[in-house]
Formats: sequence, C-alpha cells, structure tokens
Amino acid sequence: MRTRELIGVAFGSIRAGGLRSFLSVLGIVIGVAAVIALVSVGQGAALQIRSQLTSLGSNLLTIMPSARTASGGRVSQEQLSGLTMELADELPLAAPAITAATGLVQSRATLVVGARNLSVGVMGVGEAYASLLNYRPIAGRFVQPRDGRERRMAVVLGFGVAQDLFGGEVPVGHDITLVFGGRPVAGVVVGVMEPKGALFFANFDRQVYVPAETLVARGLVPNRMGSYLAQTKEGVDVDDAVAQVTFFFDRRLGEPGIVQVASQQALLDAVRQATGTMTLLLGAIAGIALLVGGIGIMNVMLVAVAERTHEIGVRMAIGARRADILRQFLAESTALSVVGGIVGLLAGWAGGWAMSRALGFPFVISSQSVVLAIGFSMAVGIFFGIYPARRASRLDPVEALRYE
Amino acid sequence: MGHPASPVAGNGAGTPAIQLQGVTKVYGRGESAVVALRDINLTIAPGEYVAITGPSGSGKSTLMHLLGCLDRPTSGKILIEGQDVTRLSEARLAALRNRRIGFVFQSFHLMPRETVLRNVEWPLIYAGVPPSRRRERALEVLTQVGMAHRVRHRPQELSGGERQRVAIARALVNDPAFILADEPTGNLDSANGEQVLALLEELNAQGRTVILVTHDMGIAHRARRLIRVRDGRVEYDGGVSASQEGRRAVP
Repeated sequence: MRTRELIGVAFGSIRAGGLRSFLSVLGIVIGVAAVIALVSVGQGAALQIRSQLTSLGSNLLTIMPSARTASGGRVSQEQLSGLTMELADELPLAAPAITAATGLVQSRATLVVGARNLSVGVMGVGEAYASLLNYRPIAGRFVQPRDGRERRMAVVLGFGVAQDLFGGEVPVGHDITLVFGGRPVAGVVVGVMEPKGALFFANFDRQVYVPAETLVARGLVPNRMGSYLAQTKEGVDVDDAVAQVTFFFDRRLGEPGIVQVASQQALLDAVRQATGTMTLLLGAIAGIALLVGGIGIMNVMLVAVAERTHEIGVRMAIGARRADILRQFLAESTALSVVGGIVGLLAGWAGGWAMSRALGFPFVISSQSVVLAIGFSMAVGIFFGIYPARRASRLDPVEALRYE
Repeated sequence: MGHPASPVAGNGAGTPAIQLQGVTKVYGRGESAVVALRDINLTIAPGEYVAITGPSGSGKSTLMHLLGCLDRPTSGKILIEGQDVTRLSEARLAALRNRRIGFVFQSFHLMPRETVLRNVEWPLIYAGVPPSRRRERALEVLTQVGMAHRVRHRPQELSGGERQRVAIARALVNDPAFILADEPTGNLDSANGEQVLALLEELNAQGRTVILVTHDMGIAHRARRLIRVRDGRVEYDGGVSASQEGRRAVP
C-alpha cells in the first residue's frame, strides 16, 4: 500500500471519528501547546535579560560587600566604612584593566514639586555611572564630579519621573524638595535621562540620580558606598580584570574577602543556568503530557480496531496483507497525533504570543521547538499506535468477517 | 459421502482449479473440539459452476473459508491451481486471495465511508497497481456490472442490488480465476437477485470458476454441479437434476 492511500484512509477515519478523534488528541494538543507557549515565554524572558545585560554596556564588573561573615560574626562597620567614593576614583589608576568606575548608594525619598509629590528611588552615583551603562541625558546634564565635591544636591530625573512631575515641560533648573524619611532636603534639577526601562527589579526611569558624596556627607545614607560598578578595558581578559580589582580592594581595605567581584559573564552564566533548569522542567512536563496524550491515542485506536473488526476481515478477504492492516492503523494513529501536535503548536504559538505580550517580553518561537513538537507527536502516534495496529493485523480473517 | 471424484473434473488433461484431499477442520481442542469438516475430497475443474448447499451448521461456511484461503485445514491438502496452499505464508495467501479469488458476500461488505470507485479500487491498491491504471480498471469492471454511473456515490446511497453489483465489480477487478459467492442473493428481492445470478452466470460463461454457497435450493439449481454438505461430510456431489430426485426421495 502506498503512502498516499494510507494518508487518505487515515484522515478519512479521523474525520469520521469527529468529536471522538478530537477528544482523544486533546492530551497531545494541551501538552504540545503548554510546552510551546512556556518555551516561548522562557526564551523571550532569557532573551530580554540577556539584551538588558548587554545594554548595561559591555564588560561591566560589580563590586559588592561580601555576604561572608568575618571572625567577629559579621563584617564590621569599620571595615565597611573603608568603601568610599575615592576608591572608585583610584581604581582605574591602580588597576590597568579598568577604564572607569563609580560607587553607588541607594535610598528612597519623596520628591516634592509644588503641590505634587512622587515616591522615587534615589541612586547616589558618580559621573562614570552614565557612561558605564550607556545611559544618556536627553535634557541638561548628568551628575558631575564638582557636584559631589561641593556636596550639592544636583538631581537628574529618570524619564518616567520627569514625565509624571513635569509632563512635557523641561524641568532643568527647577527647584525641588527631596524628603528622606521626614527630612526635607532642597535640590535642583540639572538633567533628565533618556528612557531606559526596567532591568531585573530596578526601573531606571522611576529613579533619580544624585551625587553619592552628597548623600553620604549629609548623612542621608550610611557612611559608605553600597556597591561599585567598574568597566574593563576592551580586549582584556575578564578573569584578569576581576583579579586586579579584587587585589586592589583587598589591599585598600586591609583584609581579603570584604568585597566580592562579579563579572557580567558570571551573570550571563547564571541566566543560562536558570534557563537550562527551566528547559529541563518543561521537558518533564512535555514528557508527562505526551505520555497522557499517547494513552488517549492508544485508547481510541483500540476502540477503532474493535469497531472495525469486520472491515478488517473484508480487507483481508480482498487481499490486504497483515502488513497492510498494520500500516493502515499506524498511519491513522500517527496522523491523529500529528494533527494534535499541529493544533497544539498553533494554540501554543497564540498562547506564547499573548503571554509574552502581557509580560512585556519579546516573542520568540524557535524552529527547534516547532520541529520537536511535530517530531514528538509523530513519535507518540507511532509508539502508542503499535499495539492497537498489531492487534488489528493479527485478527483471524474468518473471525473478523463473522464479527458484526 | 461416497462420491469419489466429480464427473466434470475428468474432462481434460489440465490442472484442476481446486483440489481438496482428505481435508479435515476441527475447531477447539480436547473435550470441546468440534469437527466442522471430515475428510473432504473434492476436485473442481476450471470453468465449473458449482453450488454448495447444506443446512446451517453443516460445515458449508467452513468449506467456503477454506476454498477462499481465509483459513487453513487441520489436516489434508488444498491445491489451488496445483499449488498446495496449506503451506503458503500468510502474505502469499493474501496475495492469492487478492489476485485469484473474488469474494461476493451476502451483506455486500462494502466500505461505507468510501465511494463506489474507491471500494472497487481497494484490491488493486493491495496489488500495488499504480493510480491511473487502477482507476481505468475499476471503471472497466463497474461498466461491466452496469454501475459506471454511480462511481461517486457511497454505498448507503445505493439499493441492495446496486451494492451487490458493486461488490461483484470489486471481486472481478483483479481478474480472478474464481468467484466465491456466499449467499449473494440472500439480502436481495427476487428481481435484484435474478440480476446478480445472471451476472454470475455471465462470469462463468467467460470461463471463470464460480462457486456459489447457498441454502436456497432454487438458486442452487441454477448451477451445473451441486455439492451438498451435511455434518461435515459431502452428502451429495453431482449433477443438478439427479440431486432433485435424491431430494424428493428424502423429504
């Protein structure tokens, strides 16, 4: 029997099965749809995280106080108080692999402009911050070293903050008040940043940027930097850069291990690892769904064989070999599950698109997942179709003909 | 029993179409074993028109299944055109049924979801005939049985007589040597039954061996040779007119 006849008969039977065919492949449909949708969202999320990391600027190092405890039970405040903005200024001079660095401190404040106020994240930064993150002002200027030296409350607004408080107006030069836990501090707007959006849990557009030294000098944050960002020189080995930075901090703080230096590569690796774990979980879901789907197919095929026993007898009488009967039923179970796979693929595609849309991720459907979905559903159809098809092909022609 | 060989069989030097030698068929085993056929010896020559009759349970169905290569005897030999089919593989038997034997059933046994044309094409599909040739041949036999105008219809849109003509077309499509008809008029009114019998006679006139299984003596007497089976044995094997006398003798 040729492929064309096989496919024709298979689809004829599926059509004749109607609702029953549909219900039997629902397991496959749901399984494939879930996997396609979740893989799509997962890949979209990973893509976004990666593109955000890349948008941070290349070759960034993060320097954070270590979570590790010291001999006294915790890292002493005295040791941490060595984390000054001066270290960020000295780092590029001391470490040849580093081109620029800045210290960071974070706080929250209520921004008051006339009758309006807005709760914002306050990021204490140095001048290098903007260039490290490829982050540019669209109006006015960014924080400059002089602002810090003179302990001025020069405020650069995130795009969203400027929109909310000033609408279309350009607020550069506008006096504002920052209220830190009930303590008002006067400031002046010196710039507005371009829109940049969210990265992990921080939204750049919902923050304001002020000189870190001003926050420290006025006692608005603890007397030290919360963390540092440093940029490595193009073409320098990341591990070398990490080693140089670690050496610099260990020497300046007088004890190793007070800070931890992480490269962007390490973050990317962490993302990749998380994605891998998710893929594994999705694989498990897919496996279970396809198993359940396969059992559904096997069930409906067993019913079909029982119902068509007489037809099988007639086919044998007019010359069908056992192999022909086997192939006919295998073709039917395979066609059934592939149709289920295609329906599931389309449903998953739509679902993935809708979820990505809702979550703000880019929509990704990889050709791999399409091929896998169709391939796996075909394999399920063949695997779970074998038993019913063998049963059909082993019927005794006389018995089958007598069966009504 | 006691009728050694058919009188018609000895009419030439050619190989008999069908030969049964000491064929016994037993269903089940041990205590529950049922002997359906006992030591049947039969020879059917090419081109014969034979009716097999007998009451239900006589073994005539079993005999038909054996003649149609749908089943194997428990012991004995069946030779089809000189070939011992009891030793053939399943696949060879399927090929034999496909090419040499055409089945006509009481309930037509057409595939309900498929068109008339497709139904007739199936034996050709199993024979591996390419599509264009297949269509041509199917139309040819449908024309022969007077059903060429209905090729796009499905079986349930046809009358019983029309369905049986389609079934005969299907039986004929691979140009078989034998037509094996099991109560072919059983589900038809007399006019349609007559048409079907006329068709079978025409096929016989073309030189095909026709074996008609029926319990209707009126129909059986249309054949030229009668084989009556009872209790798994051949009770009568001979000319049709002689059988009528024998029948009158035993009411």
